[in-house]
This record gives sequence, structure tokens and C-alpha cells, in this order.
Amino acid sequence: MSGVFIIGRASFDILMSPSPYFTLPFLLMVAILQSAAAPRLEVSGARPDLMLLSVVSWSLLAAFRARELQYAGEPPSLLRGINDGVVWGFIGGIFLDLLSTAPFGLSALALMVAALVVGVFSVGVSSPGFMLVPLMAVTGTLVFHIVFLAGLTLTSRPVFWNAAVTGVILPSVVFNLVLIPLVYGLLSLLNRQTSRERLQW
Amino acid sequence: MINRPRSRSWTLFILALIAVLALVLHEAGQLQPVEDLAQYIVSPVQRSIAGLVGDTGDLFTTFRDVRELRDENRRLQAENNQLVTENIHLMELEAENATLRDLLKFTRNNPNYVTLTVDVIGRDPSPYLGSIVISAGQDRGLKPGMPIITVGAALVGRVTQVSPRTAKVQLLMDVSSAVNALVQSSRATGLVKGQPDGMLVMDFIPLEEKVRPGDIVLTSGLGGELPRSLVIGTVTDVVKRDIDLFQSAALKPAVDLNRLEVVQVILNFESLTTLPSK
Repeated sequence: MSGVFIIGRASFDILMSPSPYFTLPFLLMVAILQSAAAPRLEVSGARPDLMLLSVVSWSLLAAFRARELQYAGEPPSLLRGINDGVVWGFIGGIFLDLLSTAPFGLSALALMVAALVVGVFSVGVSSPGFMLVPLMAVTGTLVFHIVFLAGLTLTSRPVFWNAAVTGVILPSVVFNLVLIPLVYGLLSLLNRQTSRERLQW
Repeated sequence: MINRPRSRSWTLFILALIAVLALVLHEAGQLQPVEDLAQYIVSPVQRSIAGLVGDTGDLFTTFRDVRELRDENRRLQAENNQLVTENIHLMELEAENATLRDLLKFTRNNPNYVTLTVDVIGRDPSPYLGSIVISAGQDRGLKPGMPIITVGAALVGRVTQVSPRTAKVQLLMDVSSAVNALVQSSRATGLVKGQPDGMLVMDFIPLEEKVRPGDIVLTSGLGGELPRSLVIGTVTDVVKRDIDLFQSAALKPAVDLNRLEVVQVILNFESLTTLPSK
């Protein structure tokens, strides 16, 4: 194992900063899907939060990589693990804001906070089990929606909190719980693929 | 050796004679029993051979037919696929055509308005905001405040932000949206506001006015922010309490604002109010 980490040290460092050639088009595509396709899949007020799920999944993956490095005796990588998700949250949020009439930057802020919470919790948890992924999907969804609604309220937009909780947030939690295995699985595969390529390089 | 040509001549002569005799006997009907006996002996063999030949012939025909049928089946399947695709395409065109015809009707009935038909290319990614993105912007002369309508002169919303090639439209159902309106039958005025569930509420209707479910609600044109007489929706419920200063009515939008595909921008309507770019 130590051999792997000795070889992987530089590679992991590169990996944990997502390549802009991959990240930017990928997140732009997710934002476009979120705008063009997700509203058509609305069920009981909830629609797939593709960007949120991508950010949460990447935060988790980054946190898991950071934990591996932590075991190899590299504490600073914990911060990198948290940063990765936050960077994704920022870029993805900006793309969403470009397509939205929400105050510019609000989606980015809400996604960054959600990624930060997921990242900190996932890095800090002593023994990550299989329940961590759905638990973090729920946590990320709640944090994202609460920050977003708070932002709308602070910028003097009318917000109906009761309707938002019952009509959007709770259905979104259920929707995201169903979708997180799919999104997380796809990003894990992608992550594994890119890490293999990088290790070969 | 010398006699062989002569004997061969005799053989030929005898054979010819037998043939002629057989012909004569056949014509005289005297040969029938012999013919029947021969037929009786030969016919099973003949039938078997005929059957075998026939089957073999059928086998070749079957091979040829299978190949032809397969080719034809392939061709028909391809043709069928093409027709199904064409049919779907035609149905899509028909639906689009119907929409465009309805939009054209509004243009013909309102020659004073210069309209531009555009596609809806996206919706707001946030479920809390009711807005769409349309496929025209500054390049087609769009400006904030321009009214957006769809089939049946139904009001959809107003342009809020304009980019070089796209524009964002605030829909009627957005909770920040407020439109001056009147009830068609009673001419009662009020303010139509968006609701979080995608429905509309007409508020500030004076208590003494009569409003009933089924009444049509139109834009009033008050304030100069929108043209008059655009259809907003239909009254579904009325809330009227004596302790209130005003009554309110729940409205169902005239069109399903979640399923817009093509809309029209009224280009030559100058809004007297400027929308905040929210």
C-alpha cells in the first residue's frame, strides 16, 4: 500500500484538483441539463437536482481520497479534499446562475456551502459506511435549499417558507435520495477512469 | 460384315412397322388394354419421380422465395421505420403548425402589434423561480418589459433580462410577478400575482364586485405595463369575507406555463414601467 501512495503522491495531488478541461464542460453540460431537461421531469414539485448531486458526489469522492492520503500521513490533503467539492460548487453554481433569474452568485454560494458541509463531515467521520452517501445527499439538499431560500429572502424576494418546505424541499430530498446512487456511481467510474489514466501518465 | 447394313435396314423397317401398327391399333382402339397395363405399371414410378422432381423444384423455389421474402421483409421494415419516423415528425409538425396558426391569428387580429415568434430553450434551474429562456435577444430587438404571449392571446409574462442572443422571461406564475387585471364579465379590477404552486391569485378585488368561478380574467392595461385584453386565466375559486377590505380569486392560467415551447414577443409595445432585473 505504501508503494502505491509513494507512486500516487504526485498523481493524487493532480487528481484532487479536477482538470479544467473536464470540469468546465462537464459542469456546463449538467447546468444545461438542469435548465432544459430537469423541469420536464418534475414530480410533485420536485425535480432532479443534477448539479447539487454532482457537487455532493464529487465532495464525497474528494473526501474519500483525502482520507486515504490521511492514512498515508499527509494531513494537508484533508483541506484539498474539502476544497475540491467547493470548487465544483462554485463553478457549477455560476453556470446555474447564468441560466437563472435568481440573484447572480446565489446558486454558487448555496452549492459551495453544501459542498463544504458535505466535505467537512465526510472527511471528519471516523468510519464512513455505505449510509454516508445517502446521508450526505440529504444533508447537501437541505443545506443547499436553506441557503438558497435565505439568499432570496435577504435580497427581498418573496419566499413562502411553508410552501417551499412541503412543496419543494421534502420532495427534492426524496428525489435526490433516489438519484444519488446513480450520479455517485457515474462520477466514481469517471474518477476511477481518470485516475487510471493519470497514473499511467 | 457385308450383310450388316442390310440387317440394320431390316431392323429399322420392322421398328417402323411396329410403330405404324401401334398407331393404327391405337387409332382403332385395339391397343387400349396394353396401354392401360403399361400405365398401371409405370404410373407409381412416374408419380414418385414427378413428386421428387416437383419437390426439388419447390425446394429451389422455396430457397428463392425465402430470399426474396427476407429481402422484402427487410425493405418493408425499413419502409415501416421510415414511415413511423415520418409520422412522428408530421405529428410534431402538425402540433407546431397548430400553435403557429393560433399565434398567427393573434397577429392578424391585432395588426397594430409587431410580434416575433421564438422558441423556449430553457427554464429556470431553480424550482423557486418561474422564468424561461427564449431564443432571441438584443439581436432581434428585444428589450426588458416586452410582453410575451402564446396561443389564444394568452399572456405568458414579461422580458426581464436581455442578452445578445437570448432573453429571460419572468412568467406570470413567478411569486415576484404582479399584473394589473380585470374580470371580463364584471370589469372588476385587481392584481394578479404568482403563487409557489404555479397557480395565480387575483387580489385587491373590491368587495362589492361580482366574481364567479369560470369568469375570464384579462390584462387591464392599467399602469401601462402591459397591453389590454390579453388573457390571463380563469377564476376557479373566490374568497370573500365581510371582514376583509377586498376579495380575492384563485385563477388557473390560460395556458400550462410549465409546458411552453413556442411564444411570441410583442416588439412594439413600450412598457411605461421598468421591471427590476430580478
